[in-house]
Amino acid sequence: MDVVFRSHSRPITRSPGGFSLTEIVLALFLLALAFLPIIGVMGTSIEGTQKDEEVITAVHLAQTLLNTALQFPFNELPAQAGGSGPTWTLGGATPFSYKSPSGNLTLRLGPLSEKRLTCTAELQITDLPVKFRVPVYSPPLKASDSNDPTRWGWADPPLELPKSELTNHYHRYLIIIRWNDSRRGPRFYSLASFKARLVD
Amino acid sequence: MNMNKRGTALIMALIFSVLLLQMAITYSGMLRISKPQTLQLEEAAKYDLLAQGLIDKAILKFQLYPGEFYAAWRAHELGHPQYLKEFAINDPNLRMVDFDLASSTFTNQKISVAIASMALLTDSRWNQEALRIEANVSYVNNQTGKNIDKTVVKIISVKREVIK
Repeated sequence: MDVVFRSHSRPITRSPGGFSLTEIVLALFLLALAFLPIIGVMGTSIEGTQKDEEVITAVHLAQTLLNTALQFPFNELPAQAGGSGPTWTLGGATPFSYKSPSGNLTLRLGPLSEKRLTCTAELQITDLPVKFRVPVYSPPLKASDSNDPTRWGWADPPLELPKSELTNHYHRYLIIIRWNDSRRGPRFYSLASFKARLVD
Repeated sequence: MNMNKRGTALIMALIFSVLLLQMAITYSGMLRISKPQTLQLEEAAKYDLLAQGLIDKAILKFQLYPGEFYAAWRAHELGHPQYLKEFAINDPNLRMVDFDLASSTFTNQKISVAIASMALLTDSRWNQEALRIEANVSYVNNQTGKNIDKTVVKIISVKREVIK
């Protein structure tokens, strides 16, 4: 232990343990440097989480709206949209709300607010004319030799039926969610499905 | 000052710095894993709705041409599957190739969907049958670049009636 004497005073003892001021300042500087990438990663992660949240909210909203739209009987929504086909647009910048006659099903489109996402929802329903390739057989030939399918008079090649395309039997549903991101600008997410005129 | 203890604080700070950097690297890795999971959710929603839509079209074909389907099914039972294959699989109208209308600002995938099979599940003796329709979905994952194949199945109850 070093002992320093000053005139007219008690001796001051200096401990060999502990850190010098220079060491502490350098250590703090190093720690601060180490924190910099962490802060950077956290910033990126917050931004990424916000983006993911937006995407998940948009996907969820699109799924919910599309599934709701698909629950309505075939052609009921185009009938509400007015006008004639082949594409009907519902919602977008214009608010659209339609309740089923039973009152159990409501479809709301147009400007919407879901969690922190402020967006517009638009539904486009398009009529897609259909035609099928059908292997047609002859019922009398089938009846005469029911155990040998090769003798049932199958049309070769299969026929394109019906002769003219069938309209208003198969619709494409396209839902588009649009929102504005303050950093990345306008964003959109769309989901599509189809609905056929089926007999229960 | 004891020379052995000089610089201890610096060594400790360096150790902590390395640990903190390690944490940052691990965290960054975790973020990279979480991102594809969000996109997987989005992909699943997309392909399922498309496949259900195409299955709806197959049901429409079945409802429009039930006689042809039942004859093709009977032929299949008798060991001649080609007619059923013509009805369900080979029809280009029961196929969607590179469908890209369901897109977004963050993904733009081309999804192909095709009807893979149509089969009656129960025996005709029950009078109440079930129709099983299977659709195959394929697309390329944007993140990994891998080909993804999925199967979507729908089973509906059907009733066969003889019109005299």
